[in-house]
Amino acid sequence: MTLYDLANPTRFLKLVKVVLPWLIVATVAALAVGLYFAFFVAPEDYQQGQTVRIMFVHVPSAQLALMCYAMMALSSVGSLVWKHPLADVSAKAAAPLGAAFTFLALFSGAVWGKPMWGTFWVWDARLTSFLVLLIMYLGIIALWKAIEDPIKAAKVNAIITLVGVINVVIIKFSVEWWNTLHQPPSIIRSGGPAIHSSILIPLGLMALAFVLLFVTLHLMSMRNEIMRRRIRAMRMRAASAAPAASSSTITKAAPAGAR
Amino acid sequence: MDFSEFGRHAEYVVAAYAMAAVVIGALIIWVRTDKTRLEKELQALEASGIRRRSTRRAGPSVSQATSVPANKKNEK
Amino acid sequence: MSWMKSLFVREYQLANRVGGGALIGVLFFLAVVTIFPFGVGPDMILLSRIGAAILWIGALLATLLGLDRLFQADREDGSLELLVMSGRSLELVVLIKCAAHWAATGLPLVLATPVLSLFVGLDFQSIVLVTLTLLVGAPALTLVGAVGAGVTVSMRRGGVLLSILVIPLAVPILIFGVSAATAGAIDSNNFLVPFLFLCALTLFGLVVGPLAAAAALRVSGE
Repeated sequence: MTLYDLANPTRFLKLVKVVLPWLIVATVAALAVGLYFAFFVAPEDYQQGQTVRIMFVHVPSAQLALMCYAMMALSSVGSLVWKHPLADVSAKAAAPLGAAFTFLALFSGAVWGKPMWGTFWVWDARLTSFLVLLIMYLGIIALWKAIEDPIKAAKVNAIITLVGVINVVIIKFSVEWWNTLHQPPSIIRSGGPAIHSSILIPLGLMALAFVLLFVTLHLMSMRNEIMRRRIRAMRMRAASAAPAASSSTITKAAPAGAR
Repeated sequence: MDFSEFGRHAEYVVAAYAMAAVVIGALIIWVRTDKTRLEKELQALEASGIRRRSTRRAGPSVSQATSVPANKKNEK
Repeated sequence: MSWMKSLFVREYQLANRVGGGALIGVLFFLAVVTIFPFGVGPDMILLSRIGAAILWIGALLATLLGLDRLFQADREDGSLELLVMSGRSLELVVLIKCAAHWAATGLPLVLATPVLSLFVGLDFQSIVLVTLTLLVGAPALTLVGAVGAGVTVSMRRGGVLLSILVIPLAVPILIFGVSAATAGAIDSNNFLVPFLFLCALTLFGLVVGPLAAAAALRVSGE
C-alpha cells in the first residue's frame, strides 16, 4: 500500500472502515486507564491540591490544539502543491476539532487559574496566544462556510492557514516578549517547578488518549466530508443532466450558477 | 471515589472535566448525526437513479471526490 | 517601468475618488480617537498613558475599513481578470496596489496622527515616536490586510470576515508598534528593539503579503 493508494478517496474510505473500530477501542481504553491514573493514582500536589488534576485535561487539549493546526498546515501544503482533494478534506475536517480543543484548553486553563492565581483570566503569554489561535480557527471555519465551491474554498483556506502558521510563531514570540514587558514573570509557571513522575505517567496516558480521540474524530469527520462532496457532485450532475436535450450548455451554466 | 475527601477547589476540577465531557460529547454527536444525515441523503440520491460518474464507467474508479474539478476542467 | 507608474497613478486616483478616499479614513480615525475619552473618562494622565495604543488601534481599524474594496472593485468591473491575464507578475501588481492604497489611506492617517495626538495628551517626544512607528508600521497593516482582501475577494460581504482573519495577523504589529511608541513614556521600555522588530515585520509583510494575496487572487480568478 503506497501513499498514492491511500490518497484515493475510495480506498481511503475502505481503510477507515477497517481501522476505525480498532481506533475507537484504543481511544476508550486509553481514556479509561488515563482517567483512572489521573484520579486514583496521581497524588495531590502539596501546593496545588486537587486542582493539579485539571492539568490532565488542560495539557492534552493544548497539545492537540497545536497539533491540529500543524495537521491543517500540512494538509494545506498538500492541497496547494499536489492539489489533492483528500488534503482539502483533511484540512476542512480538522478546523472544527482544533477550535473545540483550543476552547477546552482555554476553559480548563481559566478554571485552573481561578484557584491558583485568583482570577479566571490573566493576560499570560500562553493563554493570550491560545485566544488568538481560537480566533484564527474560528475565522478559518467561517471562511470555509463562506465560499460555496469546495475547491476554491480549500485553496483560499490553505493560503490563509499557511500565512497563519508563520504568524503563530511570530505571535507566540511577540506575546511572550510583550508579556515579560508588562508583568513580573514570577507569577505564572503552570505545572510547578518540576513535574514528578507520578504526574507524568497519567499525563502521558491522557495525552495519548486525546491524540487517539483526535485521530478517530478526524477520520470520521473526513469520511463525512467525502460523502458531502459526493452528494454535491451528484446533485450537480443531476441538475446538469435533467433536461436531456441541451445538456452541454446546461453543464456549462451549472457551476457558474452555483458560485 | 470518595467525594468527602475531594478537597478544596473540587468545583473547579469538576467544571474542567465536565466541560471536557460536554465538548467532546458534542463533537461525537455532531459527527454521528452528520454521518447518518449524509448517508440518508446519499441513499436517496442513489435510489432516484443518480449515479456517480465513476460507478457508471467500467473498470477501477480513478477517484470520486475529484469528480467536481474534473467536471470543471472539461468545461473550460 | 511605465506600466507600474501608470498602474500606481490609476489605483491612487481610484482610491481617492471612490467613497471619499483619504478624507473618510481620517474622519473614521478621528471618530475612533474621539470616542475613547468618552469611554475611559477625560483623565489626561490616563489618556496620555494609553494614547499611543488608542492611536494605533484607531489606525488599525481605519486601515481595515477600506481594505475589503482593495481587489473587489477591480473584480466587479473585470479589470482584475485583465491584470491576472496581462502576463505581468501578479505579485508586483498586488504590491503596487498596496502601495497606492497606502498612499491614499495610510499616509493621510500618519499625517493626521500628530494632530490627534494632542487630543490624548501626548508630549512632544511621544508624538514623534507614535508618528514614526505608524509611518513604519502602517504599510505592514496594509500588506497583511491585502492577504485578507485577496482571500475574501469573491465574497459579497467579506468585510467583517476580512477583519476577523486579519486581526490575529496584526497582533505582532500592534505589540511592537505600541511598545516602540510608548518607549518615551515608560522608562523601562527600550525603543530600538521593538522598533527594529516592527521594521522586520514590515519587510516580512512586503514578501508574504503580495505572495499570498496574489495566490488567493489566482484561485478566485480560476
